[in-house]
Amino acid sequence: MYFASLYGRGDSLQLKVDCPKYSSEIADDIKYIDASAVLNKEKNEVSFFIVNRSENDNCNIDFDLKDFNVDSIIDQQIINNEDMYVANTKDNPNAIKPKKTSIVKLIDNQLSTDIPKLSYLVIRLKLN
Amino acid sequence: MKANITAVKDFTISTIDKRIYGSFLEHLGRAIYEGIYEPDHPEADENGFRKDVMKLITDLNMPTVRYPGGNYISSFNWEDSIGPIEERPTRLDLAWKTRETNEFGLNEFITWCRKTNIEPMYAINLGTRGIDAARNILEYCNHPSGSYWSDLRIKHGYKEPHDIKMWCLGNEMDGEWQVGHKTATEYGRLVHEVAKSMRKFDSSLELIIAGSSNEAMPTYPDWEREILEHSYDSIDYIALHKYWTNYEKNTNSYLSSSVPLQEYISTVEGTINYVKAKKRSKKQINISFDEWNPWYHTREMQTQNYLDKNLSDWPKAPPLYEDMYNILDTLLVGTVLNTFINNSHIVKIGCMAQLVNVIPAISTVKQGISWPQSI
Repeated sequence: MYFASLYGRGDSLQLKVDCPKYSSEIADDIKYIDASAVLNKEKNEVSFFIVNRSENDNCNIDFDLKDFNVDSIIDQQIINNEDMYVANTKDNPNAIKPKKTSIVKLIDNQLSTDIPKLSYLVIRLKLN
Repeated sequence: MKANITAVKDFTISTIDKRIYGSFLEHLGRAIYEGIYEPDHPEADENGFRKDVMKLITDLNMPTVRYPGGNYISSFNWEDSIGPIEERPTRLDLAWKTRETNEFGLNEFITWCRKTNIEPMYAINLGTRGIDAARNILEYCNHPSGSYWSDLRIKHGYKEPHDIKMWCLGNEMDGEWQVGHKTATEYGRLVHEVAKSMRKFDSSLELIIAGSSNEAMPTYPDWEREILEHSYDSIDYIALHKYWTNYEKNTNSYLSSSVPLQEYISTVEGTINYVKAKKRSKKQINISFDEWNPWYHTREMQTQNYLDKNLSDWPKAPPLYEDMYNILDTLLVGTVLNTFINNSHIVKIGCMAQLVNVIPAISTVKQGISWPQSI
């Protein structure tokens, strides 16, 4: 809840997500990458919330942000864990926590990232 | 694996209602007692509220909390939870088979909301009760003074009205498990009359009716159609609930859960718009997704070993449904929140169920630490 509640205030953006898909027992055409984005006009920021559902594969994502005029990356944080079944308990309350990361790159105005398998990533961008 | 994400600055869906990041507190297990309220805890303030827990909640910038239930409300009498604490009756809660002392009640919850900057969302009993109880609690909470119930609130030490705007009218009334479970006709008629009466007091209230408990219910989605047909003109939101399980440890399936969730939301949106057209209404009813979360780590065992048994001791605040969440649950929650953001034109309220100790965002130890779960 932490990422979305803190950084998801503003206007939701329509996203076009192109990526490989899979089928499960409960649905078809499931995109491995699940995403949303929120534009905060007052602060002139946009936040992306990205989940990589894949158990096995990292995903190299290229962003096409046609008219956003991105100035810089304010923040990038990720939640994941080597152990799929570990939890935050009273004896280990910090087993899973958001961590600062540097996997998101802004080079020549192009945003890209390599998101690890089974990860939840927030990217916050400052706009010009 | 490669992917492309494209966005255009002007192509927005909707302004997000911050209330989609809300949560839920029920008188269930240790959510209240030893959760947010523990008077002899080292971190308790002058009201007995745990300051460590309040800090974790304000860290989430929590906009709203639904209270006091959940199934609890369907046999709950709100009058038991007000007035001098020593005069409040201890009652047996039929939903969760516990003994409720009512030591933490309506006014305590409002005081807690003021301290945590949370807007209260109060749920009323349409299981065993109806119009009279609804209009009386509204008067108690929101009328300034000069009437029986408002003067009673003042006598109880609360001079200013609570000004509660959001009211949930009943809980999961489609469920056989609910005390006072009703057919869509019975509930639709009752909720329309309750809503009308509440609006005669204050037409600006935001009234939420209980939609389906989940989309596997035999009455879904006809339940939605019928209760909206009875009440469309008098209410503002229809509530949906959903809990997810991963008993089989099937990651691919579990993490695809937001795809059927989208279908659930779209179907109810369609039903709302069908009834809107039928009524020739200009008003848009929106969705309050006011119970949602993974719920499976403790559910089967505790339901079998506790709820389904004929217990005689009716404990106070037993440790129930104290799930501890893993990264797969965190990812599922991430996809659910993405779905709410991507449907922000129709989903205006969301309440993660629940906030403390019970299928929680935050866990506590009695007389001890508190910490956030990964969800």
